[in-house]
Amino acid sequence: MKNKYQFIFVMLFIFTFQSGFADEPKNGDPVRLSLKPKECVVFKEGDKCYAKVSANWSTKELGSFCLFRTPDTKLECWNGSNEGRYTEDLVMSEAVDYYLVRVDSSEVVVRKTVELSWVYKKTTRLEHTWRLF
Amino acid sequence: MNYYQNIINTILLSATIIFPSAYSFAQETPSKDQQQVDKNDRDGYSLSIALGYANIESPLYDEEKMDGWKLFIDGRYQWKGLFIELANDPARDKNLPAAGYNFYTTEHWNLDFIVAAVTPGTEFNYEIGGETKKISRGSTRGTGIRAQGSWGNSILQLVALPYFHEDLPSDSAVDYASLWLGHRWQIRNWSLNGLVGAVYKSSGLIDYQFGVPASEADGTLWSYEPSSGIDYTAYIDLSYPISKNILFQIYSRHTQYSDQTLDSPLIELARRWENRPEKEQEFGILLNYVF
Repeated sequence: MKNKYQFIFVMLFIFTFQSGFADEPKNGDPVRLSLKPKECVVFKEGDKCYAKVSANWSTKELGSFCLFRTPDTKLECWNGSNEGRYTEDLVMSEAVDYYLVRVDSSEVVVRKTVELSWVYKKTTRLEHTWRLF
Repeated sequence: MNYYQNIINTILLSATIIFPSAYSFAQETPSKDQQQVDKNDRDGYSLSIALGYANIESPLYDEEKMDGWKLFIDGRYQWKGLFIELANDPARDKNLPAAGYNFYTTEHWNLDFIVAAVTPGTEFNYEIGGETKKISRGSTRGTGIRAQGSWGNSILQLVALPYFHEDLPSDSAVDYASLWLGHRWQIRNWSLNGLVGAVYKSSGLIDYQFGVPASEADGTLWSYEPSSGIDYTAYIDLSYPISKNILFQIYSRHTQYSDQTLDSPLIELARRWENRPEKEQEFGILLNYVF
């Protein structure tokens, strides 16, 4: 019984810390965008992936910026601001880019990607249709 | 340990027997077929190792009984249609340790010629008249055909093994046959995997494993000659991908062995003396590393 509780504790510990944290931007970067999670993982290639994506951005100077997600979806705009935060529930079937656009010049100032990964490739390997052949 | 030694022996023996002959077959086929063999998309390897907690109770196998940490290894290697498989995972009833040759592949079907380790060896010890008596039965290895069908997240597997390495006291056309049906449901990022199966064993196969000839009967053990029987298994697991290499899994498996197996004095007495359950049950919580 003791073993059981030890194992459950290890599992909970891993679950607590498994979600990916975006790399902190380097000091001195003019515009910073961090995403969490950086990667969404599914059981098998072709599965849709469900993620709660949180995007944080900051710049050195105040300005007007809009946050977009591929394919060309405007998420939110900020005026006279040098930081922002946006959170959404996302259903992914491929990797998704988030990018910040300066409104006055339409310039993409920073771009980051939420990658899509899978444990099992989509093959004719029948045993992988469910886990454990 | 004997069971795993037998499995390894079976695989090595089968590989020795099958691979050269299958390779010869591949060499002799026309170039068109050779091209088909060369581009067999099941070629390659897969390997996963799982560590976790498992609780297993079995009416048949004392070695199976456990409550604690357990290591599971699944491995498969295929080269030009020739493959070798070893799985001691929770779905091992479906996936017999085997070597073979994948001779036909379509979008939905794979047909394999296999040599498989079917049943483990067993040993039964008891005392009578102040003496210890030991009854032992060897493991069995069968040869035959496996068909695997796949449609989306559903699978079907059929196995028929008419030939056995051992001399079974049987006149059945097929001594071992199984049917497995499985489906995977995606629930957000979780996968719910269900599998049900039925395994037919001929009277000869059950007799080889659990029969008692008149010559072995005594005051404790009675003579027993079984007829054929069918074992039923239901398996379910819930899996969550933690990363592209690590899979969390919680599972449960239940197997109801045939009356023909459970009524054997070797099993009936062992269950009575060792308080074994009627059904085989397994529960586990695992972390899998998928290479």
